Amino acid sequence: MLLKFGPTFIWTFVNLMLLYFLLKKLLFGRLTLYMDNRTKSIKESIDNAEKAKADAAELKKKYEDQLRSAKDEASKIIDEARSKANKEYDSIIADAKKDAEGVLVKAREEIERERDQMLSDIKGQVASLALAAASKVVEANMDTASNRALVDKFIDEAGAA
Amino acid sequence: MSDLNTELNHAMLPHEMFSIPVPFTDYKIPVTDTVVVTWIIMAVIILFAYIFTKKLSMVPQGKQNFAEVVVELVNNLVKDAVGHHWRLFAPYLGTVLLFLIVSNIVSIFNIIPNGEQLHKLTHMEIFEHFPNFALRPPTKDINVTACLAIMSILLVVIGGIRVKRLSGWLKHFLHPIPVMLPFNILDYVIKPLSLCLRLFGNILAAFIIMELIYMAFPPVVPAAFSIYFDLFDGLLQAYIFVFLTSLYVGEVVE
Repeated sequence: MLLKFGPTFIWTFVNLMLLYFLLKKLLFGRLTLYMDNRTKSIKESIDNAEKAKADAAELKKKYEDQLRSAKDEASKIIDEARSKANKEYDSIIADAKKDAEGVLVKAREEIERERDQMLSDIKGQVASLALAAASKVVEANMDTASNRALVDKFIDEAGAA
Repeated sequence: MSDLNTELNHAMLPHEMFSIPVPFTDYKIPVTDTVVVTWIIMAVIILFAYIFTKKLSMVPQGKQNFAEVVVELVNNLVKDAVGHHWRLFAPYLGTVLLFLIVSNIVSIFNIIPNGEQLHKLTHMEIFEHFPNFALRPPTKDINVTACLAIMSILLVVIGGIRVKRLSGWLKHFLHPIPVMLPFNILDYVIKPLSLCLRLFGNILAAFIIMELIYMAFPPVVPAAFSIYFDLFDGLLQAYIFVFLTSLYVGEVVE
């Protein structure tokens, strides 16, 4: 009686197959798929984060390099400009000095020439003035040779003074 | 004494509750209480599976955690034994594990009154037909354990052929040396037989002991024994059955 096989055997088979298909659909297949997807998505997220981190580090390095080169370039440009300005300054100053010197020399020459001119003019005028004054003073014996020599001597003395 | 004997016999043996007539023939398919309890267990498992996986989200919460723990447990058990073909076998082995766990410990839930008491309580005629119906483990019926064992060995055969192809599967009979052929063939008889009888014997023995204890010391004492004979032994046998089946599968598939 205890070991009697019967339709319960078939029933159990049918029941188990039914339970298997229902649980596979409802529980095992579904949840396993779900957990696999989650594992995949978490792995993807981590990978993406790693990649983003690496990209960011690379970008940072690139930008730092750029910044450094920009700084170098800027200082180079400033140095260049400064030396150029200095050169320009020096040359302007030198030109100005040269110009001023030329003007000064010219002015001095002019003044010398004017002075000579004026002196010779004044010499002539003083001679005639002295002559006139002397002729007024001595009136009559103006044409004697000794008087004439006296006048010339006087003029020379005046010219030398 | 004979009264006790008939009572014990009644509890021990499956008995027909009703039968389904097959159309156009005189044959009627009998339905025993084993099958009815199986249906109740299936309904409970499916109901729980439905409730626990109704709302799935990428970030598991509450009930989903529990369902995932169960599935993960089964998957890991099968992964350890079978290797990387585990996906093929995990759903079936998980189904058997859940079914056996609930089946073996089902007598713990036997707090509901039996048919006789229900009839007195409700005066509903339907209970009059099943005066001694109770939740008894279906695995104390040899039909159930035999079916489970034969399905397990079918899983081993089908899985082996599916994974290794027919030629590879046939070759494993000559493994490790051709002399082993008769023993390898015998394996396919001994394995299901041992699976079937181990489960049947353990559960039936535990069930009979528990029935005797219920008869001898009715009110409090059975609870303590129930923890061992119903709960612990039941869980252990369920685990052993599934673990051995997965080992057999792993042996062939690996």
